[in-house]
Amino acid sequence: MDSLTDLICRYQETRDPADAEKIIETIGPDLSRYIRSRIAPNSAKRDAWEDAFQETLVAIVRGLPSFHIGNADTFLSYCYAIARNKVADQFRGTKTEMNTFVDPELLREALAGLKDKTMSAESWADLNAAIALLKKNDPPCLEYLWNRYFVGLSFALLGEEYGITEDAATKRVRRCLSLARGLTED
Amino acid sequence: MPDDTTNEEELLEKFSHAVREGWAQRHPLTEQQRGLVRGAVEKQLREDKDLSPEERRKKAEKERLKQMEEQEQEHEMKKKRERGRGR
Repeated sequence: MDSLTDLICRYQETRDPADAEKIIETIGPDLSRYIRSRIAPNSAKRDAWEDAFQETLVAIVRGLPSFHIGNADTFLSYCYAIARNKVADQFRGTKTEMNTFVDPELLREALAGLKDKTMSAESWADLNAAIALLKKNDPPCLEYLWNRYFVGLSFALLGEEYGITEDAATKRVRRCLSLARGLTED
Repeated sequence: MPDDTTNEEELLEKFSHAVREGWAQRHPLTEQQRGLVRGAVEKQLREDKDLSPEERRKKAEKERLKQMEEQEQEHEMKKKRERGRGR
């Protein structure tokens, strides 16, 4: 399988729509989960998160030919920056604020995809334990852990989300995990 | 050096993996989204077709600078917001 950077380089040479599709296939689900986590279906206008996602895809594709590829991380950082701008656009001029916290509806939606999949009782138990653990936390830890483990942001992306370094983001998550350990011991 | 991976972290990593997988199954790229991607590529190719190599280079550079500017503004906003949260 081609790596993301290989695909981007190839697309820059060939401008083949099939390569652009492959790039979007690789990053699309994570980006859509990020965007959906920021825009609850009833928070702005109907289908706002889908609009923001589609606008993000188009902006990424248009930026591909001029993107100075370093590594996959710089590309992902660029894609999430676009997604953040498109999410912010959806909230401009509204009084609603974007979601940054645990959304039970979203959690159900994400896990519904696993329903038909055979998972061992142990895996389900682990999953439920993780959800219970997340819910025990208070803000801001809940928000950091949610963004890291549900939204799936890497430490580097988490840092960018909060305007802090990757190292600081790592330390915050570690601190929150250590607090969470205290909560489970109580 | 002791292994600082905790049970909590391991649990949450498993959760993260399950969420990622579940979401990807539930939300694959739709035909409409694929069409949008292909359409964006084709539109950009048509726009670029009439440009000379020099104009294409300038356009790419302009777009890149715009992206960098947007990213910088975004980063500044995040820093301000984070400073506000720290107070």
